[in-house]
Amino acid sequence: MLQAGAWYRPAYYGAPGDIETCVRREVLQVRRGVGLIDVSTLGGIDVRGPDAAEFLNRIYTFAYKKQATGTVRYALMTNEAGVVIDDGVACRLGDEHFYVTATTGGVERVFRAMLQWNARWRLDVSLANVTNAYCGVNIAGPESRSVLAALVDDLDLSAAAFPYLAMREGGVAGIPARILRVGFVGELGYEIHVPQHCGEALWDALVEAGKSAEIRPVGIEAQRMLRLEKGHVIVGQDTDAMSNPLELQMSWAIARKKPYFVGRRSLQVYEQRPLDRLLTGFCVEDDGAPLPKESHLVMDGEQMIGRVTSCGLSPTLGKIVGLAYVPPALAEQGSHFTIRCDNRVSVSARAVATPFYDPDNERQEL
Amino acid sequence: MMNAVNPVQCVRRSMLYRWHERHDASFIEHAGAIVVANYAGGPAELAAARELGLCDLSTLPRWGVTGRGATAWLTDSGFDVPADVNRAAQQVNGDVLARLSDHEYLLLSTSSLVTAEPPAGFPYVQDHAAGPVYELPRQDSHAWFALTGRKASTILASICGVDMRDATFMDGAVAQTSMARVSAVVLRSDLGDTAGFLVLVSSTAAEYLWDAIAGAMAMPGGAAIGIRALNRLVE
Repeated sequence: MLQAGAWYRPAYYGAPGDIETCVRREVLQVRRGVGLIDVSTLGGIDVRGPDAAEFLNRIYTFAYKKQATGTVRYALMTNEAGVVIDDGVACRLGDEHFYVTATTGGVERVFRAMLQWNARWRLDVSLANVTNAYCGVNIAGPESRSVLAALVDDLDLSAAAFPYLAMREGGVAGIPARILRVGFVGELGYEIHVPQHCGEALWDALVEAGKSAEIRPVGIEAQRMLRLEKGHVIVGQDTDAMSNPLELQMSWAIARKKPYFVGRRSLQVYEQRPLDRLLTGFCVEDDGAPLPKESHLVMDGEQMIGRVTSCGLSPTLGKIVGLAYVPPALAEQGSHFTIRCDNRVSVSARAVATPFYDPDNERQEL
Repeated sequence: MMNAVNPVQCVRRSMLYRWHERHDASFIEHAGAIVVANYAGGPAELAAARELGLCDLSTLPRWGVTGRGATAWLTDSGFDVPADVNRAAQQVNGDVLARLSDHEYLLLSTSSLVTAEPPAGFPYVQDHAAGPVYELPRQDSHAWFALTGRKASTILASICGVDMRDATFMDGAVAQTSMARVSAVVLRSDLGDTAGFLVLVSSTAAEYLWDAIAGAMAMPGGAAIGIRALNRLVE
């Protein structure tokens, strides 16, 4: 088990100490078959009322007023300085009802910020932290649809009826559920949210239904590798106290036509200046090179010019991939930079575009 | 009472059902939920309920509502609404309605302790014509325990800073406080002549707080009790 904020989460399933084998097995399980990830620790906030969409528009960088009911949109949160402080997804359940998720360790901070901001804005919204009311399970992999289909009676799971980034409500094994199609791990998958006291029954039902597909539980170490293969950032790991969406190359998540959102003014200032660094994907092409670790430095001679935020040997791709902050010139695809690993061993890395895996996102949109 | 059941056969399970199983609990279906009927059973458990008993009510019906229109809606729906925050009012059917803030309420189906049925009309459907009224998922957000008996307030003093002695925390009092370092809501709701404290804690901290309370109860000779012992208190 691994401590994640106030929670303990399963790091991997298998013999203690055998982490590499177990993580590799779990990653490939999701890529080739179907896996189950307990995501119950994710934060959940109900935003309801006539001003719900306006409230989300002000709190997050993306746009929500025109979001259709039954859809899911990425939610990136910045503070007044334009620094990224959390992310999640916003599900629209109705004209005046959104269910937004937050990171495992961040929901208390996010909820508090929401209350503080609305004390000023006085928008007509009701905010409820419902994290502890729901359990969440992510069933992911090319076999996930067939496994889930065995447990639903009132939902059409076909790609046409339930496309990527859609949200549906229905029964799973007789349990009322909110089901989201999101792509954190980059495969066909369904994030199922059910009432807290039904979580165990849901897990049991999915394990039973997935037996013929050899379903396996998947821990967060494998989940971290799966998302790294897709180039997705983890707030708090790939971001620091100064990271803004521009440095993260996430300008796509900023709705610039909105008149206001928290951090907008600061981002406008940043956009007028050249950036000092960019978060870039990289790979290590030398098969014999040591594995760079998180926080290993990017060096120009003896000068520190950046650092690694995430890195690992990808079971799917068979090579070392990672994310690092580097000067913008070195973030251009094909550029080479040097990472100083343990014992001052230098490793050459090459900047590459992300996602590393399935760059056209075809697999998650099946 | 209906025949014994296995909680694993049901989709809705208390966070503590494994603890109950390890302590040789017998389960029954009660008020549409699976609850512990008894552990030791008989006079021993009833005596514990009168002295110091702890009962898991987490699967029994409860409900929350919030919003500017909540007070008016509840009043129009026939509820006896407490005038003050941090007060609870017993309803005609025996349920308890607690006011947690100007606009937030918590309804505990204490009537189902006796009737073995969910209250009529539960789960309630709000009428938005009365103004903004929003349901809160209290059935799942919180675990629900009953701490009963003559020594209950003494135990609470060891894990909670609020004075819950009889003279200061009488029937109908509500405290939103910290208990064993986690947030908890405590309602005084006596069962017949026996002191009763209804404790609500985040579902995610249910095992932790149950262990903390059970640990505090061990020395004074407290015990976990089932619903049958609670029923006997109100007969």
